[in-house]
Amino acid sequence: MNWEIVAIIVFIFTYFLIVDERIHRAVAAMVGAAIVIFLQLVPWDSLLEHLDLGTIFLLMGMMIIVNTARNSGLFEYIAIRTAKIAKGNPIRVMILFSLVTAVSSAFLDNVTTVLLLTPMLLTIARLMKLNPVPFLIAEIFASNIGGAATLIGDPPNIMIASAAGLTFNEFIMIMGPIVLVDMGIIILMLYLIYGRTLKVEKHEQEIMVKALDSLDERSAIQDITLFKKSIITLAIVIVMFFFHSMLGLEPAEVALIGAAIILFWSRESPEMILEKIEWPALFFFGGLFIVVGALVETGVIADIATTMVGAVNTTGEAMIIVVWFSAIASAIVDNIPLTAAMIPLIKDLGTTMDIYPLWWALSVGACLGGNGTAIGASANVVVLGISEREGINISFIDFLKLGMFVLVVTVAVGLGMLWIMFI
Amino acid sequence: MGYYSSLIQRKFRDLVGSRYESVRMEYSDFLASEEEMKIPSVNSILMPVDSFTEDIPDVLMEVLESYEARIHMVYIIDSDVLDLIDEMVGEEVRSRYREKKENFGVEILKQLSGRLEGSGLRVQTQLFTGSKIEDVVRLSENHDLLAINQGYGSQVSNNQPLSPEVSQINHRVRQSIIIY
Repeated sequence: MNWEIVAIIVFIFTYFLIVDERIHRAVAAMVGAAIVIFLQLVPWDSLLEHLDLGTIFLLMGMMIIVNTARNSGLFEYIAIRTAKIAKGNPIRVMILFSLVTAVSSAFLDNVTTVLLLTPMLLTIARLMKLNPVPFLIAEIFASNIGGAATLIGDPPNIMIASAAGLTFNEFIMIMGPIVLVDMGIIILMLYLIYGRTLKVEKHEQEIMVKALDSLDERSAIQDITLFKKSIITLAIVIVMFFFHSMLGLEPAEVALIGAAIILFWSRESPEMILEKIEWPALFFFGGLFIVVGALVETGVIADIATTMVGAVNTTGEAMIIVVWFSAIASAIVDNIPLTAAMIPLIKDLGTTMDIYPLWWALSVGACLGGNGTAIGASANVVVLGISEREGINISFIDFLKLGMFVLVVTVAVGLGMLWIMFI
Repeated sequence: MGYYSSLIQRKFRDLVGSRYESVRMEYSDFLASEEEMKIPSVNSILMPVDSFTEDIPDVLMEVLESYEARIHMVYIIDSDVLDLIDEMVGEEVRSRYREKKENFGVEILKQLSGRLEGSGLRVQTQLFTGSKIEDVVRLSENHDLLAINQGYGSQVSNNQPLSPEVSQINHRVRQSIIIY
């Protein structure tokens, strides 16, 4: 039997199930993994090689920290403070929420960030009697772009860093400037597109300011002691991320140390916190790694890498292909499974060319490509899902028109900046 | 539900689980719902005033401005008091008292309506002799809201913050009432 073909069929079958999501993505990935394990395409001895524990433990540690901090009301506090600072000015609301979303997404997971900011944004839009769609779209783009800035901001970056051994500071130094430029461009672009429609009467603005002023952000803090401890622990963890290579620690170790600190210090019930770890997400990653591992074990990835090496002559050419392929493919299949498949391919290319720039090309493509379609990234699905539940419909085509434009502009800028840095 | 919509909902459910419901619950503790945020339709407001109504507080001004409704401000000279004066000291004193009350009523209506009109509100004033309770209850039938001072009709104290007249009106009117 041609095991390469079998591995490709299982891979395509699994990815189809993940895209369609008629069964839970974690179940789809585990079914795919079960098939390749049953067929012994991935032998037991090499199973742990393919399971990227750096990614899984980093996600787990950050989930514990974020879930504990969430109990304090920290995120609701940030949302209300942001709304008050905007003072009822729609443009200011859009820009401030975009910036807060981008910064939060850079250091926390995108799903939690948009899950906690979207209800506040919808409330403000209703108060202003304005169409909430521009605010929601801006939030999605800001989350995906902001998440690209750091090692811990977006799952593709966590996976890339773990596979390539990249440091937190390298991400800040290389992806940070790209994200800053892209954020500036997107805010300007959204202002030009929506600026004219985002206007409220002075009288309505005054009513809104009064309504927002009546909100007490301190009432959102459920536990002031936990609130302070959460902020301090998050600060410690972020500082440790900056120095993790100097401390000789892997990013996943930093996250687990942070999780231990907050669990010990907060005295929150570990059963309650550990229960909130998103186990389906972790099993989803685990399953994906094994399904992609089957492609590696059977030589499919090596064959694609050989073909690609034959087709490209320089690292610059490879960078262009990786950026645009990962961007377009991310928009279609979701950036997490795309990154899982691309990592072993880039590793294989390492035998014939300098692949260091290619990791950044993958990060740019996978993170920013998520903006392309409504299902391109988790933040898109969460914001659009909440919107639908609140009776606001953003059609696939409407999102696609804007999303693809944002994808092309931000990825082109990212590629241009990587070209200047590396070629 | 089309494929796209059900796809988004499937992916949303798998990504978020029940977390959104708990986030909504947390927000509902301090954010008003859409229903709660809606300002009820109020086209006319009845506002009885008398010598105990010294001024309109700023908070009430903001509320009245937000409704943009027509305000019917009435000053009622208490007919029971006039009858009592007539019985005890005669018609001439009653006429003098009535005249004095009318002048005072015109003055206070002018002063308070001027303040409201200064904020862009439409105000209609009316002065007549009648019952401070019955006429307010009767007139309130033609309005959507009643705004009344807590000391309307009688002096109030710290121990008794609502006048008996306001208490009675509050129990009898069907419309919403703002007591300031």
